[in-house]
Amino acid sequence: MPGYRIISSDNHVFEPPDLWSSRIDSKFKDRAPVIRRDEDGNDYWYVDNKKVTGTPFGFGGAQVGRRFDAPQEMTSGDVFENVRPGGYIPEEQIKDMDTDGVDVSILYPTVGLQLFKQPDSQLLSGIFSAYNDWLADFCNANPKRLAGIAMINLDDVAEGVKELERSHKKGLIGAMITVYPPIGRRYDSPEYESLWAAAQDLGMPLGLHAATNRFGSGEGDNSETGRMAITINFDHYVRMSLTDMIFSGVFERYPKLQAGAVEHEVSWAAHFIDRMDYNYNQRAPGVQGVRFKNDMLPSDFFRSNIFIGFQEDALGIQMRGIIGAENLQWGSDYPHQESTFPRSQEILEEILADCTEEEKAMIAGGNAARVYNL
Amino acid sequence: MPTDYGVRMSLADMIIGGVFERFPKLQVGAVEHELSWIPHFLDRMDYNYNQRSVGVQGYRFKDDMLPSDFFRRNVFVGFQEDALGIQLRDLIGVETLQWGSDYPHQESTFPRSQEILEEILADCTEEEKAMIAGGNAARVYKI
Repeated sequence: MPGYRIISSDNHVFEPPDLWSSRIDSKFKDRAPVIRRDEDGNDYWYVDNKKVTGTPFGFGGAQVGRRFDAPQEMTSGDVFENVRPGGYIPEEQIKDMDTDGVDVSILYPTVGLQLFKQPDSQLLSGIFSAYNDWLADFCNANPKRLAGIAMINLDDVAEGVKELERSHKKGLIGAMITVYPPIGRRYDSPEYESLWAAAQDLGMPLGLHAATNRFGSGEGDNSETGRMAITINFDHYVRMSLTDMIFSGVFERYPKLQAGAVEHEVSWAAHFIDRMDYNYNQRAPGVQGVRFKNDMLPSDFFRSNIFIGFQEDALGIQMRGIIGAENLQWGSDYPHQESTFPRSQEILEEILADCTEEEKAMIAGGNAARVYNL
Repeated sequence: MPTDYGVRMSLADMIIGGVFERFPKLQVGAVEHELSWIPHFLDRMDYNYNQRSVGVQGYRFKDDMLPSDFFRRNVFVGFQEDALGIQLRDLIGVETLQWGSDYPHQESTFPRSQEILEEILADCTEEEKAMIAGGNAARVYKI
């Protein structure tokens, strides 16, 4: 057993088939997300009678561990019966956490990630609100070890803030917002001001999770799941959003706000930080643009207000001196196909081998404990 | 600001699409995108190729070549003063790096190119300095 506390900053639930049919506002009952088996023998989520792209069950929860045992048999499709029960039964997730040495799981959705693309904004809010209720119940089975992240629709920012407050009251510990807003909207716009304020004041860190682009965000949306260039270069969207937030002074105005890049791995951050400071100090748009108080640099805001969730980026760990060890939060991605479960302790020991004991404790759990008050 | 995104998408499409397996002598360059994005890019290409179902179930290159092998053989990278990228040169491949001054643009190193080169290449061996400052470009363009 390692001598440090392990918190998975990025675990997932797998939404059960009746989550929405049993909870969603009755006006959306016929349009709620449901699972259907297609002719290829695999299960898919359907919303509003349309197949949700990018949610094959093989990635999502039915093949956790296969990458270690039989990597050549990994497939994208699968069926609900094969999904790891810990995805939807809290006691089962706790058992798997015990097996894997994980003390606390910070919980993100599975199909929920893909639902950010749902074009009907009211339906999306209904879906998110039912999910947040279900997730709060899931976490209440063991609130010391299961910590839930709410899903927030920001099409109407005031309504999003209300849902953030409601989720906070229900005991959820943070919230996820789209990693990249739709065309015509950006996180450097004043329209998001009330969200930053509420998230800071409620102490709700905001997670920008991979694959949560809002419908119409363009630039090759992530529904092109067969195109490897998309997954290889996933960090693009979170970099755009974080740049907009940092350069528009969000963290100067809300110094206690925490925002995170979740499941984008780590090693992009070295280049990102370098380019922010370079453009701020050595290019005309930077020098002629806003200047931060107290000689703060973009990278200073990054180090004080941004966290990075990752799972096994050995290269990123090697670059921690450039990025900042205090920003890094390990996560297992359980029960997804690429999860480190059930070898998380072994993989952590391996990727953190060159770290000091203090760094190991920070990255494996201490940083998440600090950001989320766990 | 992430101007490297466009070139990363194009290079990933070309590499994963097998362009450099079919045309092993083709040389393609990422010009004026600086360097330090590359370690992450190579890491993510090899990871997705070997450990994700989209990669594993997709086309497999001959002779156990990895996406990063094609990058090091067929891609060159033009840059001007990316000290961080130079620090990470072993992860990128010194043979891919080609310095450029960007003259006469605003961000050019002109008229201090020699001074800046000496500064950013200070930790490099003499052989690495010669490759980065001109040798790699001479090889690729037969100059």
